[in-house]
Amino acid sequence: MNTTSHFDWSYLATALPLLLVGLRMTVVVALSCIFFSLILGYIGSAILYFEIPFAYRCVRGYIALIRNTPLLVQIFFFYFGLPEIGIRVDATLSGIIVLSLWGGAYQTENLRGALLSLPRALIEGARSLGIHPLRIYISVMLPVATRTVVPALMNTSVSITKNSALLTAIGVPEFTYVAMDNIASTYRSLENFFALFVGYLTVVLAMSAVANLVEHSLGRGFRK
Amino acid sequence: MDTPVLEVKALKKRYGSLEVLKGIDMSVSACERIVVMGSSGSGKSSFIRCLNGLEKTDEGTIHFLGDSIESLGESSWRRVRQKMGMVFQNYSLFPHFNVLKNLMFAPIRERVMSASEAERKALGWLDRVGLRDKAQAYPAQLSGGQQQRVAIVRSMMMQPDVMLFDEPTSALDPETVGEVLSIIDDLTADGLTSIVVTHEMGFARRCADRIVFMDEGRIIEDCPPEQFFTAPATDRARRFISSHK
Amino acid sequence: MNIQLIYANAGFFTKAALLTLAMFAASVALATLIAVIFGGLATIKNSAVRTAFRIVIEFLRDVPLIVNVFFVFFGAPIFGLQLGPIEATVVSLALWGGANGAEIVRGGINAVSAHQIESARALGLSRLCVFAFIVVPQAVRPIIPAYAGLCTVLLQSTSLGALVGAPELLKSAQIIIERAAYFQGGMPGMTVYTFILVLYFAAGSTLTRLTRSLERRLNRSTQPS
Repeated sequence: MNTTSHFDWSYLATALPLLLVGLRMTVVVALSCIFFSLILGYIGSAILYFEIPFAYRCVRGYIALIRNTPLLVQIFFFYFGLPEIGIRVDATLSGIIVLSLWGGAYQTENLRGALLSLPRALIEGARSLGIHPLRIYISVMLPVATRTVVPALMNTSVSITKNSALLTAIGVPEFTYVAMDNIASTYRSLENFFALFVGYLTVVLAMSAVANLVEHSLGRGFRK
Repeated sequence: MDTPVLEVKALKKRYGSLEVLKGIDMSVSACERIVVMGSSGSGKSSFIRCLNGLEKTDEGTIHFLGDSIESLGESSWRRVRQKMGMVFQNYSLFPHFNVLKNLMFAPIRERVMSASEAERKALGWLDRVGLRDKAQAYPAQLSGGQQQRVAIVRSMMMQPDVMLFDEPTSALDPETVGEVLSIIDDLTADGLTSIVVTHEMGFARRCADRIVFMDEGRIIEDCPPEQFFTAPATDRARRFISSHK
Repeated sequence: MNIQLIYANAGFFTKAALLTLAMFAASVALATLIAVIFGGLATIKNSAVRTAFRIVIEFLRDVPLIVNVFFVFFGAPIFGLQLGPIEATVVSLALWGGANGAEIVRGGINAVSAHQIESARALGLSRLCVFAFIVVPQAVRPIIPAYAGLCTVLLQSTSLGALVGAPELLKSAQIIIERAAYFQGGMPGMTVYTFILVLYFAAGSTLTRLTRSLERRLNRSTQPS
C-alpha cells in the first residue's frame, strides 16, 4: 500500500489526542530523568572533587562505561539482560533508570569541568579565612560553579529529552512510539513525522527558554 | 610576651628541581610591621604562601605563637588560618554574596562571633574604610580598590593575630594603590602584627618597622627602613632600590 | 554466562562488527562533507542564504536522531526514494552528523579573532587567501576535539540501525539472543549484551585515545619553545 502523498489535516486532528498523550509521557520521562541526572551529577562530582577513595574509581569507571557505549545497547542490556539475574522492572521504570544513569554521567562531567575552572584565588581566599573545606565546597564553590555550568547542564538535559525517544525500542508509550505506531497502522507517515518534528522542536525550544531564564536569574548579583 | 609571633628557621622549598627558598630565617615580634621586598623570582610570594600553608615546605621550621606549623594537615591549618589573615593580589571576594555577607560569612560559620555581633562589627569596619554605603552591593559592582578594601576587612573580621599581605596593590590602577595602602597603614598602625609583600617603596619607607629583602630564595637584608634605603649592605639591594625609584 | 554462544557465532559477530565500522566510516565521511559545506555556507554574509541553512541545521539537530532515522527510512518513499536499512541509517547519521558538524565548524571559524582577519587584510591579502591560510588553520584547533566527540557519538549511533533492521552489531546480538532463546531456552541476553558492550567500549575508548594524542600533537606546535 502506498503512502498518501498529500497532507491530511483532518487526520492529524483526530490523531492529535493520542499524540499528545505520547508527548506527555515523553515530557514526564524526560523531567524525571533530568531531575535524577542532576542529583547523580552533584553527588558524582563531589566524589570526584574530594577524591573519596574507592568511590572515586567507581565513578570514573561508570562515566567511562556510559560515555563509550551506545545508549540503545545500555537500554537493551538493562531491560532484557537484567531479568536473567533476577532483576525485573517494567519498561518505563527501566527506561527512566537507564536514562537517568546516562544523564548522570554527563552531568557529573559538566560539573567536574565547572569546578576545575573555578579561579584558584576564590578557593584560596576562602581557605585563608579558615572556613571548613566542606562548607567551602557547599557555600562557595558549588554556587559559583553552578552559575557557569547552567548552559552545559541544559545541553545535557536537552539530550536526555531527545534520547527518551530511544525508549520506543522497549515499548515505552512515549511520543515517538505513538507516532510510529500510528504510521504502522494507518500508513500516514507524512502527518505523523510532521507532528514529531513540531513536537520535539517545541519541547527543545521551551527547554532552551527555561534555561535562559534560569541563567538570567542566577546571574543577578554578578552583573555590574 | 617575648615569644615571637612568627619564627621561621632554615626554611627550604623546591618546585621539582628548582629551589625557590634556600634557607630562610626570620623572626617577627608582636606588633611589628614587616615589609618583604624583592624582584620577581626572589621567592617572596612562595615564602608568604608557605606561612599560610597554601604551599608545602620541604625543610625547616615555622613556629606560630610558639607552635610548630610547618607540617600540619589541612584540617589543623584551618584553625591556624583563623588566627592568620591573608590578603591576596586578586581580592577573591565571594561573587555570589553581597559585601556584608562576604564579611560575615566566615566569622559566623566558624563560630568566632554571633550573627548580631558580626553584623555590628562588619558595619563598623565598613565605616572605617569608607564603604558603609556599599554594604548591600555585590563585588561585581565595586571597583578594584573597593573590592580590595572589602577583602582586607573580611580577613580582619576573623580577629587574627597576624595579617599577611601578598602584593595587595599589584592588581590595582595606580590611582587606587594609594587609598588601599593608606587603609593598610591605618589598620596595622595600632599594634597589629603584619607582613606585607610589596614593591611600593613609599609605603615601605613610611610604615615598616623592618624591611626584609629577598633575592633568589634567600634573605639578604633585614633591617630598619632608614638603614635599608640609605645604606643597604648588598649590591642587589642597591640596584633594586634605584630601579624602583 | 555461556561464552560458548559467543564463540559459536564468532563469524556472525565479526561480520556485524565490520558492518558497524563500515557504516561508521561512511557516516563520518559523508557528515564531514555536509558539515564543511553547510558550515561554510552558514558563515556567508548573505543573510537570506545564511538564515535558510541555519534553519535546516537547527531542524536536523533538535529532533531526536532515531526520529531522523525513522524519517529517512519510512519517509523516503514520499520523496520517491527506496532506501534499505543500512543506507537509511548512514544517510540520516550523515545528515545529523553534518548538521552538528556544521555548528562545530561555524563555531570554530567564528572563534578566530577578528584581529587576525583584520591584520591579514591590512597586509593586502585577498579574502579567499585570508580564509584559507589564516582562518582555517586556526579554526581547526578548537574544532578537532568537538568533532572527535561527534564521531564517537556517530560510532555509537550506528546501533540505531538495529531498529530499522540493519544487520549491524546490536541487531546481530538481538538475532543471536532470539535464536538461542528459541532453540536452547535459558536466557542468553546477559552474556551477549555484555559482549557487545565490551566491543563498543573497546572501539569507543580507542577513538577517545586517538583523539587525545591528536590534540596533544596539535597543541605541541603552539607551545612557546
